Amino acid sequence: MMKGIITKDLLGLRQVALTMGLLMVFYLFLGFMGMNSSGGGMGYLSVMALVINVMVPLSCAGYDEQCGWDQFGASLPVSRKQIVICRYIVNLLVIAFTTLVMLAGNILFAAFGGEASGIAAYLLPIVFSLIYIAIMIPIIYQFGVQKSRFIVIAVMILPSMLIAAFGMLMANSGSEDSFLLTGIIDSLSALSAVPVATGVTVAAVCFYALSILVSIRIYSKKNF
Amino acid sequence: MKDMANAIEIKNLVKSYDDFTLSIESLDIPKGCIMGLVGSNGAGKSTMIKSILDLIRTESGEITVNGESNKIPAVREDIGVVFDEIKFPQIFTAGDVRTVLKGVYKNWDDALYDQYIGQFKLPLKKKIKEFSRGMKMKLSLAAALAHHPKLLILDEATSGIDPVVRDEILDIFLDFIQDEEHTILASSHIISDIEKAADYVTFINNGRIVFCEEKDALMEKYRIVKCGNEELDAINAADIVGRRTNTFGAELLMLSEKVPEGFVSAKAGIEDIMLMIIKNEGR
Repeated sequence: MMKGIITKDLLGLRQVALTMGLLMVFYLFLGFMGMNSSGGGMGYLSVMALVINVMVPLSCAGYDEQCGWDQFGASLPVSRKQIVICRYIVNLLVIAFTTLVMLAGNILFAAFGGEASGIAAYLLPIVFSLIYIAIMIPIIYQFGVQKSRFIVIAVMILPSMLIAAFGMLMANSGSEDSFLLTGIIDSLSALSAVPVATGVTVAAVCFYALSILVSIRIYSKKNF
Repeated sequence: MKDMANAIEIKNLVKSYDDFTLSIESLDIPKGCIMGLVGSNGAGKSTMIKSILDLIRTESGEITVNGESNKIPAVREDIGVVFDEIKFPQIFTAGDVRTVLKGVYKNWDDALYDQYIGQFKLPLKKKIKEFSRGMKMKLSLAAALAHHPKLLILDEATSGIDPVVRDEILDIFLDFIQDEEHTILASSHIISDIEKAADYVTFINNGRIVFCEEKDALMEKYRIVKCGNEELDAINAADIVGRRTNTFGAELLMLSEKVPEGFVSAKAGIEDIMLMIIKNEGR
């Protein structure tokens, strides 16, 4: 039964397919141009992954709201819990897809003599995406896309400022790269901190799981 | 043990909004019938349907569908729903709707869906946004029927649709209801549709059920009495259920047995009954 709901979200993604495609081409081009710089072209691909991963849940919810899907979905023989879980699964599938694009880009850059990137380059957008989505979805469920737009923007700006601050701090402490995300990737790579990376990833996954529980609670009480 | 002869049973339902409360003490909708739900805008028709589908959280009440609590998602396997608008993304095609619902309903029947799509002359690959309102409604109906539901619920599904398409849809309803296990609950502003197809009529006004009766019995129950102003005094005011006055006299809605001898009376339509009762309650 959940298969149908997931299929609906995936088919709905065609609405943002063109934007996603253009973003991928744009960032792949930037990455290709910058693949010989410090940090390689992966910094650009990380930004691409992050932008797409964050854009998709907002778009999905927006289109659902526009066509009244939530009401129809709730009239189907699926529980609201399952509907919420499906939304989170779709976002994981999108994260998996953008990670594959990053992997493909990395292989491409390496084939053309660029600098191959380590696991931190993949991990960072995944972790940030999980945290972003975990914050965004309950807000969207609670307030609706229109009302939560400003909250979501604030939620997106705040971490960006934190990333910027963190990136600058790291850059000042040794890394010469001024490109923020690349700076962080470099710093994390430099740390070679497997336990830290694992800890951060596990924490992000737990936060994502917690977000599912919060969303189920909010969605179960909704009137359609 | 719930009465399995009823498709829907509602007991002590209360749902309050800031400016409106739906309150239904008891309502049974028997299996094998078409129940027409009538009432003015904001009377509570959609709130009642949403309550049955568990789309809204009610303060109190118990609702069963085919003998099971409406809170159980699996109960909706046997329900087909058509809302006033199609609820799929506009870029979807009839083919996409099939792909999605096939993954939702256990009893989804591709062949039956394709049969309806063919019967309604709907394109499989055209986007919904290019469909006319009538086509969208037919697609919603095909989607609602292709999993072999026992209960079909329609919320203002025929509004804004031309009479030819409405008639075509009514034929589908009559065909669906041939199986005595099948039931239709349809809310509509278009009283002529209800008059044409319904077996029972439930009239809701201000969040309360005014009556729930067999259509034919209902139309026998009331009469419209036309009289001049001077004749009005001869009629006991307590016997008048509703009235429509003009310069020359009045049209009175009365129970058939209360019509005084010597007065000319005519059959009352559902619309007459509904409008005059609403007017009377508003006094």
